[in-house]
Amino acid sequence: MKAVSPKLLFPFLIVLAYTLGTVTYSRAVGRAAIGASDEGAFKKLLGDGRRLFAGQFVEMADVYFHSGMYPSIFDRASQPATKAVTGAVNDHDDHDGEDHDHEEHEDEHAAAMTPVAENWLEAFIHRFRITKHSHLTEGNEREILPWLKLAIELDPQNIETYTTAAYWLRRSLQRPEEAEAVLREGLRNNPTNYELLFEMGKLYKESKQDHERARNLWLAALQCWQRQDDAAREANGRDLAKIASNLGELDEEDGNYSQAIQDLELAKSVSPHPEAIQAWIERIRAKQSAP
Amino acid sequence: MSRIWAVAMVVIKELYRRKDFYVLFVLTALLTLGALSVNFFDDPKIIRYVKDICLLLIWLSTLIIAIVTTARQLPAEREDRTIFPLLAKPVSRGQVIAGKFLGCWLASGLALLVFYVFFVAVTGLREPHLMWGAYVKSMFLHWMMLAMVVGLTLLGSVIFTAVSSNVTICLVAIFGILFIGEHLAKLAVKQAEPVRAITYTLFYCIPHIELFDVRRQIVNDQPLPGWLDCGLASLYAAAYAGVLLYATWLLFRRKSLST
Repeated sequence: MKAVSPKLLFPFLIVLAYTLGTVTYSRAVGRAAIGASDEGAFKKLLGDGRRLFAGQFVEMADVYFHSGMYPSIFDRASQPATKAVTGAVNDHDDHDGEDHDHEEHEDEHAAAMTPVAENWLEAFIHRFRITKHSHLTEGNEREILPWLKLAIELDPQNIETYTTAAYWLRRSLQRPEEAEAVLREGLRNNPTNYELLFEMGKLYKESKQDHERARNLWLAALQCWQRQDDAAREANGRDLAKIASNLGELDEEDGNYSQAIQDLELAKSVSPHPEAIQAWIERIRAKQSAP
Repeated sequence: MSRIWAVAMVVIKELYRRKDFYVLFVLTALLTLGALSVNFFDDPKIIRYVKDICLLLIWLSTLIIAIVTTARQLPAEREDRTIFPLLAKPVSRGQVIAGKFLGCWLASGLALLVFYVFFVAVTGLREPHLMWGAYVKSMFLHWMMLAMVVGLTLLGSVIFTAVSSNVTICLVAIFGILFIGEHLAKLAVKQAEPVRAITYTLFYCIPHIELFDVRRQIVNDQPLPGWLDCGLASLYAAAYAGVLLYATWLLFRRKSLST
């Protein structure tokens, strides 16, 4: 068989590559045009096994949030620490009338995050580690976003990742449009999730000052919460208190005192601090009866 | 010293004649630039994940270069029978060991320098303020760590007959130390005797390669340890490399060289 000249083979390969490229590109564009959903590279590569890695990426976001100062799994085994990156969302959503001691909470958190050296060699190794506990500020929170985005791609059913990403985009980076896009993606993947609806309501109230839409979203969240089975409702009572108390606050701000009292009564029935909510109700009643 | 230097120069020439370094560098560059091109929430200032990925790849690449380059030095000399004319120069066995170590360490250092130049160039694309002092310290600590890796691999090449087994065992040992080395004391506390005593002994005896890993500080723009601590760490690395070289020489001086 006669050998093919490289001078002919090279242009042939270029033509072949170009043809294949144009054919596959046009097919991909055609598929997108008829609305075929793109499953993403992770799903194609890893299947459902990708969910195993999602938690690891949320942890990476937490490592970045602590500027690299983070206890190892061995340190956490003896002194468990909560993730500040996800914990901040719930810390600022609780409006159950109870005063939080944030400084004490911060001290406990810092102590849990700081590894302790038990011998001279560990003490020497710690000199080469980050030992100052700090959280990202001044817009540097953006550095956690790639890991949260990857965690969303890996596990689209993990609600906490959407709410965390949306929270930091909205509150620290002042980018409500991107936060809304994240929450909408979450709602596309989890259409009846009350936590996503609640977070969307927060976004409309705090970032867009659109109280009407915020109320509608929280009412929808309330309905979704009520549609859960009995066991789930019992387990997620604190979430009902969160939604109802935020609704109550919104109605109070809008001057709908009667509705606010109704909302707060609902919150009181499941809140761990009913006496604080009762005091709040009394304050609204006083405002209502004032001339 | 000139004989040791001459042996070392041959090893350095071998590094740039072989393809290992180029392949790993191109792979690192492609993966880093790929990560850099990803758009997260239209924010062009996000950089730390790129630094993280780039430094991880640099660590992996330099470890592979150091181990693979070192592991084949003595077996290749024996297989090609070039060890006999080398020893007839006359170069003593101790000088061969010292020359091979110096060559592999310098070659790894050269590769490391190229990788770090690339890292600084990539970081400079998005970060307005480069931490030159921190990069120099990080590279210096990394290079000192490679001295221990080269010493360990050279010792392995005298103990194990096949290059592949030496490379595999060294990689497993080094990754094991990197992942759990500094936590062995915590693990020891929870064990019953005699496992506790064995784990404690391991903790104090293994070369703590993970000590030199300051990637988190570089990625998160945190201050690095002072020069005094870096100096102490260098002494630690030099002491381990010295012990490993001495053990290599002890085994090599009586070893039969015929294959």
